[in-house]
Amino acid sequence: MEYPNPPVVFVALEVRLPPESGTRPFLLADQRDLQRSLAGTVDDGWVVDRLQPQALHFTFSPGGVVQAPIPPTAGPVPGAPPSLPRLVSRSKTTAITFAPAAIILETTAHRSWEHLRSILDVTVEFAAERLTPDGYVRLGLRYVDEIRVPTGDASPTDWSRYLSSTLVAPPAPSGFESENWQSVIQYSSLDERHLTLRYGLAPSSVVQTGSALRRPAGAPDGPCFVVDTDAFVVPSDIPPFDAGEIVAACDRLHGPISELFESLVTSELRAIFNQEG
Amino acid sequence: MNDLYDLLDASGTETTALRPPVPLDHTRSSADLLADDAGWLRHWSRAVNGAVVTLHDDALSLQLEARTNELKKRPLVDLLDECATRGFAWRDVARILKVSVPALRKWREGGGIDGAHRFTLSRLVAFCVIAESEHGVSDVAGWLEQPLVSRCPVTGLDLAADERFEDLLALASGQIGPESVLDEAQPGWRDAPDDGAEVFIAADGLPGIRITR
Amino acid sequence: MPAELETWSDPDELWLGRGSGTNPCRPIFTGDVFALGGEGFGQVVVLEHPCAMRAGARLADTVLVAPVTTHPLSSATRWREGHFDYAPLPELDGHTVMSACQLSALTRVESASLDRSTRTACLLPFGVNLLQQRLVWYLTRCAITTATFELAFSRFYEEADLLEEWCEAAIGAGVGIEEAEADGEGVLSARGATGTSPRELLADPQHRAAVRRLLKASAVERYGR
Repeated sequence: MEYPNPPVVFVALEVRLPPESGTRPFLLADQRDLQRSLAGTVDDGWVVDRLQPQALHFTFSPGGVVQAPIPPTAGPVPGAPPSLPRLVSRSKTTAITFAPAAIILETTAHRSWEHLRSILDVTVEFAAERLTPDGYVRLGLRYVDEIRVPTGDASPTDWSRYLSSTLVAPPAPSGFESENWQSVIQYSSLDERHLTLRYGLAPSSVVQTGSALRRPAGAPDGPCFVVDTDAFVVPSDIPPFDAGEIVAACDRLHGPISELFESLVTSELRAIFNQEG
Repeated sequence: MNDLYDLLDASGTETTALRPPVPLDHTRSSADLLADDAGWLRHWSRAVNGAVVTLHDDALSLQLEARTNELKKRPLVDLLDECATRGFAWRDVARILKVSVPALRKWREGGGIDGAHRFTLSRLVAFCVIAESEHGVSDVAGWLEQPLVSRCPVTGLDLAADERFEDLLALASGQIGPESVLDEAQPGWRDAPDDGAEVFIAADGLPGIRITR
Repeated sequence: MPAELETWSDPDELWLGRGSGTNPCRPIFTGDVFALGGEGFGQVVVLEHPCAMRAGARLADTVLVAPVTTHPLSSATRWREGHFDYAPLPELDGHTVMSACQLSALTRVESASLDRSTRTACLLPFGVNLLQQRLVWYLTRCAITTATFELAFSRFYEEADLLEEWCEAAIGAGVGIEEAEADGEGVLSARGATGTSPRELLADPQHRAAVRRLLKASAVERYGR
């Protein structure tokens, strides 16, 4: 169901290819052609771009992930990933990125599944024809919602007005207040689909404006309830890269996401989603 | 992005009673892709056992082997030129191939090369190609000449001379830290001799050595 | 762990070239062994420090050397424990008779007497560092690690390598060695737009590959090789 004031802040759709799938490099000419094919699918137009490595360097060390800024005068950064070809909307809220073993369509300005699907359709059709991947090993569709309610810093108890009781923390013992809770639930189906639901109270926005994508209105301050729904299929074989089948498979991922989300919210919260502006 | 599974992994009172479910791998954003390129398996190794790490190492070996086999067929002059245009010192190439500089000079001047040395030379070039194309190391020769950590003189060239190309690729991909590489390649590196000396620039602008303690 | 005198595992890790393997294009450098001939000298090894050996491309008028003799001690590990008035030169002549230079007989020779045609061996950086370690120990009883010598002076080893390759290209194009060395010296000293010369960039290991590429491209441009 689409809402005028939806809580969704980020959607990612990943088509993961076999690691050595032998796709030919995605050239500038390909980017230009795809740009033409996608004309009109975003209001502000597509720009040919390259996704640059972030200005932070991550290293994995025994003490955990450490990040440090790279001074501008430093030389080549070992470990910095290569830039990746992509198309990005002028507002930098929607992007299609081509990595050697993945195609990622992502947006912070989600309109509707039909709209995202239309972009996916053109993209995978194009990839099938130009890149000729051998197949795909995973399809994933992920929705991240940040739910904020007008009462602002709602205590967990208040959330029971807006969320299914299955999401709300049990009542705190006397003398205690629940200040935080998170959960992860994994679902699976008989046809190799999986759904990972992560939810909980977050002290601030979990999706930040970054160099890759920006949030249209910035990341608000303050706590929110996060619902992160990740539906994916990992075939036991390696299906051929058939554009039509990939889009149909993504339809079969979207359905459960939508169904699950609707089961988690109350009519009072739905009323907030239906408010214009 | 602050993932909820990061919050779940936060340390707490240790117990064997209940652990959070091991999340299956997640649908990635492009930001995930950049921070954690082909090594997402190793990222998740916080929750999964070391078998996942081994899988990633095997993938690096296979990739290096495949590229080496392609390059072995190239003419010797092309392989040597790949080294020269990248700025490798011939003395370092000779060390990696475990031959003398005069022997390498003969190959440069048109002499024939045996199969074993051709393989190692191809492997060196394959490593360079993969480091550049997959891991964004734009100056491989320059990168290899730098010490892995500031307090130890061991460089990437020293590891290359030991044919630790997989370790170097893992280092280039950011999946392993330099100290971990050194712990495996040169276990005694932390106890290297210390002469209490430092290099400084003297008044004539040239380097000198002085004792600091 | 405190520093102590180091030694070699394999003689091949010391020598850049011996006999016909020495390259006449290589500039005269610390650790070079020359057969001087004449009275009083057989072979000598250059001990002058790289910093002090030249003024620009021109060799200093005199150069510090030590005479080379045979020596009865062949064990690499035992050289760490004594005979400090000698510096070992294992397999200098390509066979197992141990040679060594006599640090207690340091002297200076006219640089004009050091002719490349009589150069019999050149050392790799580790060999030069080991030689310097030994000399400093003999003169001062101060143990400096070869790693510290490498850190301090590796730029000069790089410079010698670059000039060697530059001269190879120049001589291949019919240019004389002195003119070739002067040309190479000019390229290394030339300051770019940033005010830094390639020679100065050699001080930082991360820039050396770039300097090599620059010299190679310059040689191709100038000599077509």
